[in-house]
Amino acid sequence: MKVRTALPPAITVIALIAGWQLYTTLSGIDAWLLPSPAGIWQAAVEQRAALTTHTLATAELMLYGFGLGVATGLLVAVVLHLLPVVRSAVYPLLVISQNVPIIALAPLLVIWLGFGIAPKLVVIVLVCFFPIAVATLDGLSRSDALIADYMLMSGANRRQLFTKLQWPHALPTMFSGLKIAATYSVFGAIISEWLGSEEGIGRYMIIQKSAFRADRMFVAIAIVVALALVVFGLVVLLERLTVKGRRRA
Amino acid sequence: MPEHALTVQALDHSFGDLQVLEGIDLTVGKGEFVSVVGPSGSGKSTLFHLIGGLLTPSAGQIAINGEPSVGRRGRIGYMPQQPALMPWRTIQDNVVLAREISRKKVDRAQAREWLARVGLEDFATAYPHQLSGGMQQRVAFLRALLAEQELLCLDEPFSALDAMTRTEMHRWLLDIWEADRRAILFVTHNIEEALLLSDTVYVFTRRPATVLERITVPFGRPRRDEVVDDPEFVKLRRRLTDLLTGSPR
Repeated sequence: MKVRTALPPAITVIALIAGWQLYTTLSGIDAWLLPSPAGIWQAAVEQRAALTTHTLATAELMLYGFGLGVATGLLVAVVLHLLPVVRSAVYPLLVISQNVPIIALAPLLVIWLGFGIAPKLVVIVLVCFFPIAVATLDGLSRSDALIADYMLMSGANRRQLFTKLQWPHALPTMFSGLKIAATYSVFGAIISEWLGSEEGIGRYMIIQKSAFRADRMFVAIAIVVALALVVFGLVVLLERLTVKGRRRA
Repeated sequence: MPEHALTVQALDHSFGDLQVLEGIDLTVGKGEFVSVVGPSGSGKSTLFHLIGGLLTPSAGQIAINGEPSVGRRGRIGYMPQQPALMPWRTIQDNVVLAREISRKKVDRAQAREWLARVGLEDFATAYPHQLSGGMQQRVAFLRALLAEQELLCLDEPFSALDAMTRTEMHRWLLDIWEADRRAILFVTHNIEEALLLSDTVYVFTRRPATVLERITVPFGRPRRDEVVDDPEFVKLRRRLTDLLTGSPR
């Protein structure tokens, strides 16, 4: 990123933190209600050993879940694209599945699947697969009809049409879906840890909430944001490497 | 043996109740340049879709190189009205697409050699959006040429270009074709273009299209640009214009 484009948001963030620090210092507000940025930083340093363990646990869960979510999303998109009958039968159900509140579904998943990693992965896959499936399906079905005509007249079969035209055409929209899913996967991991787990940032949040440690809650939030940015960044990097020859979505 | 590159006999086609082509008879000899002129919407593109096997005619026969080809794809080199290049492929990878589809050996060196011959050597690894409209059409033409089919079908390839680029492209096409004589079926609504390029011109009527007249163009090869000022050329152009504007509507 160029300095000129990075500078305004950087100044905004610094100004916000400075204003926050100033307010907490001058108003003398209780730290359990609103901790100061300096206090939050101090909490982070004190807790760094525990935080590292929890963060690694969440990151691992999130990556497994995201990976499974991507695989599910792509599989759904390709199957629905290749089988229009299945598409018209299943598509409405997909949309409905997104209107079921995960918070309500999560306890049921624990009852069905136990306290292991399985229900947690299911939660993450449920929040991740939909944007990927919808975006990829859109990209697959909206490829250029003129190029398709050209390819057919040149003797292309269905497989060639898919691998040479529809799939490459769907990549940019697929990446739009991946970016949304990447940020959802962090939130999915946190919620799934609330279901009951030994470690993870979600677990850490619940403990600190009970202890009224607002400063540590803020540290946890910062870590969640950082995790989301890292996954998002990885997706953007992958997009740069694979999407060629035109402006990215 | 006077086997033709393309023979079309008594070809009828309708879309539902709408009859588009009626009793079309047309031949393209080996190494012959044949144009079809007709008013817009006279079913010229439909004719190509039938020859290319994309559509099956309501009645009639199509033979390519003497072989019955109704409904058979992959037997022509096709250049559509729009370049229809894949935006994610480099120019050289676009040029080899037709060979890739027909599973012929993909020869990038040959592609680059041809790109150099048409003045695009610096663009071999560029992407389509970096090229002008005329350059993109040259690439689309090369892609059709390198399909190495006996018959090339060009569907109003220059209609989207400005007048100056179009004149340049005529010269360019003539030079290449006169060096590498392939059978060409060229569809256009531009009378001067048809006369300048072709050995034979078929005039189509409005829908349903029938062959109004078959005209043999009396000018030799290689054909010079100045032929357009020849009194014979002017007379033919007048006659074709009258035929087209006087055709029943």
